[in-house]
Amino acid sequence: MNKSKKIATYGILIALAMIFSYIDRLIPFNFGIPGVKLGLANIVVIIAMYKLDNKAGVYISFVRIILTGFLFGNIASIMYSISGAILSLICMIIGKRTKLSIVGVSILGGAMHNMGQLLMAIYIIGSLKISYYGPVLLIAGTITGLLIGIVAKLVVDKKHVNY
Amino acid sequence: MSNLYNKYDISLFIIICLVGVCWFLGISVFNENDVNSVVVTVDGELYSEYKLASDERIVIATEYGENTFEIKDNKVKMLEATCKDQYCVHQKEIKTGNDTIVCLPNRLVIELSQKNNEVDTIIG
Repeated sequence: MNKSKKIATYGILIALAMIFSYIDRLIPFNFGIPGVKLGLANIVVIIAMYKLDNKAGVYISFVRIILTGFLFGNIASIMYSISGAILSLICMIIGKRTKLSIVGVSILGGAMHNMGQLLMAIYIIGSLKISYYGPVLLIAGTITGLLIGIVAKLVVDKKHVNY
Repeated sequence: MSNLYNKYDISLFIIICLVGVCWFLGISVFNENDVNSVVVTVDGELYSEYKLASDERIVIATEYGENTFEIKDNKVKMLEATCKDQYCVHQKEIKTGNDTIVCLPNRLVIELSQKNNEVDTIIG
């Protein structure tokens, strides 16, 4: 891939990820559990990881977080997203090397994203007590990860989706 | 639909869900039900303490924001907060040792605990 094609592709994917994370805020998926989101932006990150490379996934993820953080969020929300993204990306890159398929990698990413945010919350609040919220976040993360993974798998399998 | 995912994905899904269930059970087993005091922490540091048996409305104003909560019938409920998300206000009232009210934007945590700093009985 030449440089200008790379810039254009990354730009489109980052824009798509930003729109997804905006739509994420509009969908009341949280069932009354604060902080639980679908994680639609992760579809783009996973597709980039499989169709381009791991580096593209990491790059799109971080640029998306910083841009949406400044547009719709604040420093605290950027910190939560970044800690979630770091843990999630590390686990997804490791997961990709195993026999897990895209769906498995997405489940791992969803669950670990929530765990990363929980760790950040424990660090900021300075109390281990909020870990009572962990099981809910962990299971919610696996379920949203499964849904996102199935969508990503369907897109990646389309023959005409190529860069 | 079996080409969508393989057996390793399903195993991973089940393992993570089991971890979640065990975590939940672990927390439930160690739940303190005998609580008598309300502890307020701001930014990880102890801010103030109140008796759970009391009946009052408390305003906590710090550099991060202002929260108002109520202690009534051995339960604590957040009434107002100056934060944007208002998650803490929509949270249910708390009454056991595992329950917490957290207001992340204002870095405020309300916990319940067992404190033995009072004289139980005086034998004379």
